[in-house]
Amino acid sequence: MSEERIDFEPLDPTTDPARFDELVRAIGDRAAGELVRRQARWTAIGQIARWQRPLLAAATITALISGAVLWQTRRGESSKETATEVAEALGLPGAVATWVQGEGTPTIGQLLVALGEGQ
Amino acid sequence: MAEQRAAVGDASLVAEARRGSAAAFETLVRRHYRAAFSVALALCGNAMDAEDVCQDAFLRALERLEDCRHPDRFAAWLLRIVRNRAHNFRDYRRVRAGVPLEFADAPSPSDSARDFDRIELREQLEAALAELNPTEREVVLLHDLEGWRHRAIGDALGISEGRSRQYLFHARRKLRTSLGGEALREHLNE
Repeated sequence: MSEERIDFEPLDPTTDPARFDELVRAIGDRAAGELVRRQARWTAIGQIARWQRPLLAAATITALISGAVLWQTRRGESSKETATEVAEALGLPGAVATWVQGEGTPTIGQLLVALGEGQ
Repeated sequence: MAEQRAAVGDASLVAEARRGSAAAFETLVRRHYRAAFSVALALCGNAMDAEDVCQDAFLRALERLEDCRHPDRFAAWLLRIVRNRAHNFRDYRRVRAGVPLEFADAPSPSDSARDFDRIELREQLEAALAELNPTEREVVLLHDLEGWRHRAIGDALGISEGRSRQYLFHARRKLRTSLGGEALREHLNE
């Protein structure tokens, strides 16, 4: 009994094409500002995307150089070879470099032997 | 161009509209206007308010297009916005208690007799719809005005397919009683 569809045609906003076009146009007019904003935003994103590769390459090179310098500096600070090299450059006996790196204090005897080596 | 767009899926149109394509947005509006109108009409009770709500809802949807997580299910997402806007609109109307909108539907002197009949018929339908509960109105309008199937209606309204059928059955029965079999038959034969 209630299987037959109710005809809502008098309420259908699309039955009058001119009126429907008017309704759609009214929405389009009010949406124009937002659509323009979106276009501009996507254009800006496009610009960034175009610069993305060269910027990434530059950032990678900078990071590599920075990393190498940092690694070299840290390595230099903790290196035993560097301490020995500095001691030699200053004309100090090799044992001094060992004392500098170690936590213990040299005895008077050790100092005398080292100074004797230095001369 | 418009015909080509008609074949494009909602997901692609949403993607284009997100980038600011007016043509894609217009296609979405044309495609889903009647569904949006059905829900708005079910909640507002008259065509003029429903049109205002639809306009508002489509603009809101455009502004929040990034929130549409499943663009292929744009319609269901849009209808949620329509429902929210319709509720806000009704609250606003209640508070404002302005000039009743029935006056807006009144025919102007230049309207033809046919327009007058049409407006009268529309008012009868609106009055009959007012006898239903909001869910019955949504179901019967989405089914009989927009032509949606029960699965889609259930999906959009968060009810089962079976419940949708029940709502439709009761809604039609009430509408036939309100409108009177005679008037309805007369209209159907036109």
